[in-house]
Amino acid sequence: MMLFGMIATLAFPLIGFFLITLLGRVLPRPVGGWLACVSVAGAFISAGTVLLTCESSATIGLFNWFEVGNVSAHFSILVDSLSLWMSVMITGVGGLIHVYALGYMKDDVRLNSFFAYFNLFVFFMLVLVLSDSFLGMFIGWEGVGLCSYLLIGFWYETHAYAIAAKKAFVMNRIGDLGFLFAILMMLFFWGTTQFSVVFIQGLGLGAGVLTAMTMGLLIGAVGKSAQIPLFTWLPDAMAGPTPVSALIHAATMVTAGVYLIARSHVLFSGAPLTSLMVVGLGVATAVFGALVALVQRDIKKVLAYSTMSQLGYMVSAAGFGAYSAALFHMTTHAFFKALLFLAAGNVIHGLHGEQDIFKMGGLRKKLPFTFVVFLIGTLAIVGCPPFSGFFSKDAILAEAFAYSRTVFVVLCVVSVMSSFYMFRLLFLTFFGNARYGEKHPHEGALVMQIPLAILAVLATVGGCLDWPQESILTPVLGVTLVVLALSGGVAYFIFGKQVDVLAKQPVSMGYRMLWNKFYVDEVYQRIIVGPFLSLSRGLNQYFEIFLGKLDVVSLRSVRWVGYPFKKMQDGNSGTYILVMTVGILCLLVGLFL
Amino acid sequence: MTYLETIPSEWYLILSAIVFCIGLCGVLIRRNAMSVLMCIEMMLNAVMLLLVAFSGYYRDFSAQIAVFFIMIVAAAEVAVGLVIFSMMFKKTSSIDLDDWGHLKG
Repeated sequence: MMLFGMIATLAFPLIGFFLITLLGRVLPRPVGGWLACVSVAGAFISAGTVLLTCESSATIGLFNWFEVGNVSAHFSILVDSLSLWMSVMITGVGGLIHVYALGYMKDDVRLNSFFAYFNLFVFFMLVLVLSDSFLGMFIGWEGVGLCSYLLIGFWYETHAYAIAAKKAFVMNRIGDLGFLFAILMMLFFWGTTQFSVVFIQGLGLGAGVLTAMTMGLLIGAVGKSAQIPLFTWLPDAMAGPTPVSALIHAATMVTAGVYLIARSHVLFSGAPLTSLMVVGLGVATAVFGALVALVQRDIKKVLAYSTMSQLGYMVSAAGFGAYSAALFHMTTHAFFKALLFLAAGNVIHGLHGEQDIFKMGGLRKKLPFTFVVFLIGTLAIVGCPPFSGFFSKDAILAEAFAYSRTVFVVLCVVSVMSSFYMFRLLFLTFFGNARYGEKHPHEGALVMQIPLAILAVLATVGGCLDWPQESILTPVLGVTLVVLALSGGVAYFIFGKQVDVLAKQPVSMGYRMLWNKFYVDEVYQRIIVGPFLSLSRGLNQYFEIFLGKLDVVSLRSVRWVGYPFKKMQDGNSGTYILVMTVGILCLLVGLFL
Repeated sequence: MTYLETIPSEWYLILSAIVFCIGLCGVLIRRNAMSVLMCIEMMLNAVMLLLVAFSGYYRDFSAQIAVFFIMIVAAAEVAVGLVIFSMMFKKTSSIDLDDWGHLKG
């Protein structure tokens, strides 16, 4: 049962991908999309059945991948509560987003390739969470990176989108290098990357080696989960279609880094220095994302920086040992952030591609359904009780309080900022005067509304999944409500009224700093991309000339050497026979005389 | 003592060598395709003569059977060669090997 269920979980999306890819040109367009939805739903049902029926954890060996010397790699599925829970979340949220995409993408000419990539993504994500070794995980890790690249650049006709896809791919490679380094270290020490071996033998290593290994893993997580300093790809990744942003860049792929740290917590617990860095990077990213999100004007960019900030929350929680809290927040975040992105997709869809929140406003009456679900998502993300975000944030904050007061205070400040920018987003989009001109906003089709409704329910009740047993619930409850009321009120006071927001733009130094995202992109451009490009151009200029010269020289020398021998093969069989006869005679003479 | 063995085996060797060398010279010197083909046949026959002579000398007649086969194959080969020559002659109105240089790859 378990074996069959797990194989079905993996097989459904893969078969869907192959079917849609192979038949993509034959199938009528909606059929490809429905096929993709059905395959993910099948995977969801299989994974859910296994989750409900299987109590114990197990390892299912699939096949022996390779064996070289004393290095061996078996490919097996690890079935435990974490991997099963992740699979159910991925296929569940993924399935809902698949259905939503049916409506969102229905006019796109390349609908079938879109769904093929989507299914492939789900497959690789499942490989990532289900494999029982770091190597298997790495396959999924690279696979989701590839799908992310394909889907960010899905509308590659627009040059900027293609560039954004390339940027995401290259920045992820930097992180992957760290991950690969850690994997090679494991292979060097133990000849295998099987979790069962690594986690038992891992603590036997010296502290320095363990620190290096976990640093490699951390770099991988930083790249995938868009933490400082490898985060600049995530906001740009919003170039992809909105369902992509919801599935890959909010709910699932970007949380792979958190999963990696949580999965290998045994190693991290043996390397306090790395854990400290994890906390530092996580907290810094949370603060950074929240600060930048305060002033952004693009609805998806605000959500992207908010995602970054929430990922910072999770990573820091994983850093100070609150693994279950981090994973809990990851789950609720998947619900409400997917909800927010899809609702934002509804708004963008209704306004025919408009993403600037200063050109929206007053949509509460035109898009009532979207408004309600967006409100639920907002309340969930800001941590308003009894929505799911409250419980998961509370769990993290409680652990932070026990870990260090400073981290606790900083995370609370981030929480306040996040409630401010989310309310700002809500008020600018749905309240105030209509600023979208002559457009006629309309709600999306039913296939777009049903997933939103389900996600809204999940975002509301998702907190029940892990009711905090021992926490600082009561004081936090009061503080949260006061903070929410305050930040919401301030946001309403600034952005909620019938005011011309554009006139209210402050142009202070700090604002410009935030607006330009602390100039991180520009700094990277100046100190890394620029010099690299100049070096390449220089090499191109001078090395090319050298190579050209080398080319001519080698051509001439070959021709000069070959000239005398050219005569030997003139195609005259008489000459050949003569040479052959002389040769045989010489041989005979040499042999017998 | 068969009639073959009334002649010393060296004579066969010498005769065979002479015939072979004549054939070889012909192949090397003559440019007429027919002559070259005939010279190749001479070389082949020289070798077959040697085979027959040794088979008689060692009283092992299986080699003589082999020689019959070689003769049949050689006949087939000659037939093929002659057909090729006649086709080439139709095309180039020449039977000179040097005129067929354009056949080289």
